[in-house]
Amino acid sequence: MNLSGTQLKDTYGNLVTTGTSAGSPTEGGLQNGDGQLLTQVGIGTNSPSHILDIESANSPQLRITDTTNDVAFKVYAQDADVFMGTHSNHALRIATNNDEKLRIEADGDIAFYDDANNQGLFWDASEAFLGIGTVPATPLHVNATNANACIINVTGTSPNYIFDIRDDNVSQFRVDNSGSVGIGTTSPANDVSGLHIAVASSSDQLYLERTSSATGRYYLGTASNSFFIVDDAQSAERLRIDSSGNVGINTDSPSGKLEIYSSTLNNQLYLVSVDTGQSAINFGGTSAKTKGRISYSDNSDLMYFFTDSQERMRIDSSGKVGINCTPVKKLQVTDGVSGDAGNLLLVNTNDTNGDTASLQFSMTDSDSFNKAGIFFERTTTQGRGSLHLANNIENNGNNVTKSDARLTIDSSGNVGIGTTSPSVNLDIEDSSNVLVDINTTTANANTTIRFQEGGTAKATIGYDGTNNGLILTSGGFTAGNGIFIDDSQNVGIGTNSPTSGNRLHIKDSDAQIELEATGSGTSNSGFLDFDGTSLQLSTNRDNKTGTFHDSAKSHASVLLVGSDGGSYIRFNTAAANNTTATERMRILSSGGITFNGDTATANALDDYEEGTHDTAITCGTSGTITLGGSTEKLQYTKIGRLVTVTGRVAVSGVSSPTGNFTMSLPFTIADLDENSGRSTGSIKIFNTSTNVDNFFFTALEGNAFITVFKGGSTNGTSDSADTFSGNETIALSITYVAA
Amino acid sequence: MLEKQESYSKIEVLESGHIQLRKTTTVLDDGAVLSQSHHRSVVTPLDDISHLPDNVQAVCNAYWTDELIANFQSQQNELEN
Repeated sequence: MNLSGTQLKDTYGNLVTTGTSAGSPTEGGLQNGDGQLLTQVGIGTNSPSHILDIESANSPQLRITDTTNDVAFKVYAQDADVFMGTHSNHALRIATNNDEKLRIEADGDIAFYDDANNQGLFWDASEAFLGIGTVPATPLHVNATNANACIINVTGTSPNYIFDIRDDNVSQFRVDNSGSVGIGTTSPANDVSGLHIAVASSSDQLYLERTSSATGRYYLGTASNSFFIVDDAQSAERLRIDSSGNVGINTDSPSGKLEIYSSTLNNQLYLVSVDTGQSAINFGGTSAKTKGRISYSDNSDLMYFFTDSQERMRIDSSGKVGINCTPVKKLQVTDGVSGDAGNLLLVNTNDTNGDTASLQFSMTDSDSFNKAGIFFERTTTQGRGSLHLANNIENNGNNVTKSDARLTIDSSGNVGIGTTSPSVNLDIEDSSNVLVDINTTTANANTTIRFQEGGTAKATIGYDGTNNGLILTSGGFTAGNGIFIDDSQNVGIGTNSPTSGNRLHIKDSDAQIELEATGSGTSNSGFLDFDGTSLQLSTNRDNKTGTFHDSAKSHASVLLVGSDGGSYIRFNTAAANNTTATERMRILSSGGITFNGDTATANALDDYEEGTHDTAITCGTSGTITLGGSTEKLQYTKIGRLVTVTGRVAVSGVSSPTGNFTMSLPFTIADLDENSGRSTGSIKIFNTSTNVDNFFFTALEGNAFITVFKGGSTNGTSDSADTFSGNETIALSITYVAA
Repeated sequence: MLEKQESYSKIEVLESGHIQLRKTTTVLDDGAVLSQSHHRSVVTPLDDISHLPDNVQAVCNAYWTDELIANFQSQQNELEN
């Protein structure tokens, strides 16, 4: 090389620089002859336009070689292209900011490095695999290390798809620029947006599978305008939407818009809300989609049922069912209409006589021991029949039937208790003594049965709780009216306080009892009437009205008259029909009996008595006449004041009897005016020393004895006793007026 | 059981001083009356009544005052005469 002061040129003139003066080039750098650093160097050109301008007409090349490592880098232009790379079996690396950003391995693999000097994009040339964030193990392998790791972002609108996977240039998977995904179709956005999978004939069009653990495999498919989801692992179709739009779950032939089938015995559908939320099924038309509803409130634990947009039924948390109400019992049916509500209807459409519609009651849920029921039994046309209240009283598990009816309302409206064929409005039949028991729990209350005509009370039977007795009365209940039977079985008519011990007590201003006898061609009555003073028992004639009931019968009566100051009894008879009976006999207040209207006490027959008298014989002067102990009785009969004494006595012994003798009488002889009370009689004395007929006696007023004399004297006072020897018998008869 | 009862069912006091007595004998069978009979007697203030029951004697003695006895005696004397 020949170097001058202003030029640097080798012998072959390969490098020529020019300068304006002899300079003093400094060491280092590429300088011109002036010692100035060159800013543009030309190789193959003397007018470089770049710092290093290499020009050649035959593939100009730039080569950098590390001879130590035998690494060569070459940049060249050839033909119509420009080439850069290693000229040896080494990688080509491109760095920025002194960091490697791109590496092309000697075998052709390419790696792009991210900011952390990790391989962000890797091309496996031998496999033709592309990896993002990883050395690819598959043709396209993305290692997702952050949220955006696998995002393909395409901008612009042409072509109309942004991602397309093809098989032999036939598109198999395409994402169009509207975001729709097509599998097996190039027009995924035909009618819908999203994912469009199209296959020619296979039904299993989309598979979803988990393989490692908890495995499962489903596929979705369509066929014949139906859609289905199939559990492929278990070869079971789980859901189908058929060509009619019907949805079937576990059935491929849904019979309605939604049919859920279970091959097990437990088929359940869940509608679940968040806690305290509400789940509902709504029904309706297009204009009102919630007219019908079944909903459940988790907050209040209530199940609601709606129709026509209104709640109709609910089941509360305790299981109470309410229809049109908030139930307070297990089942409550409420309505608020005018007239008959018709809350509940039980129907038996068999509609044959003997069939029933029923409601039953039990204490068990085993369909046995149903012991009570309400039965409606068809018995005739038009669905008419009998309503039975039934109670099965058998001591076993038999269920109640209509045969257990205790109360029946038949088709004619008659009510039967103890009979299913009541013949009248209320027919009670039973073998027991007590058929009806009416009980009031209120002390002293009146309990009554009332009979009405056209709403007017006509009669009443009841218990008078105030006066404690049964009352039977016309009209309504009025204490003291009608017939009253007290708790001691005393009967009062016109009084609610029959005198205790009197079985029948009739109270009226003029109480009368009529006893009517009926017979062929005749009708007559007897009467018992009390007007406050007189109690009259009469036949035929009504004492109140004076009328005769039977013109072919006569009148008789007995009056018990309790006048002030003394009573009497009067007996009346009549000698002809239709004639008021006249007095025939009277018992006076003093006890005597009078006849034919004579009411004088003096004329009254006032006594009657029979008896015996042990007569005693007393000698008028001295001595004794003794009667036998069993032969001393005389008989007497007393009618009114008139006494008749008869008898026969026997003497058992004497002791020097002298004078007359007396025989005692049972009654004292009356002392009447003008000695009219004196009397005598007949006496026969047998076995004396004189003639049997030779005795007489006198009965003097004021005495209670007779004095016996022997006849033969003019004054009748001869002694009689001295004729007795002790064997005599005395026969006696006397009638006299007693004192 | 048969039972026999005797009682003075009537004690009739006469103004004359006589007292008429009716003794009634009643036969009963377990309380039911089978028969009844009367027996009569008359006592005067001059009679011995010690055989009579006390209640009868009491009536007699109460009625028979000295005055009555005297009057009765007087009447008897008149009758005898």
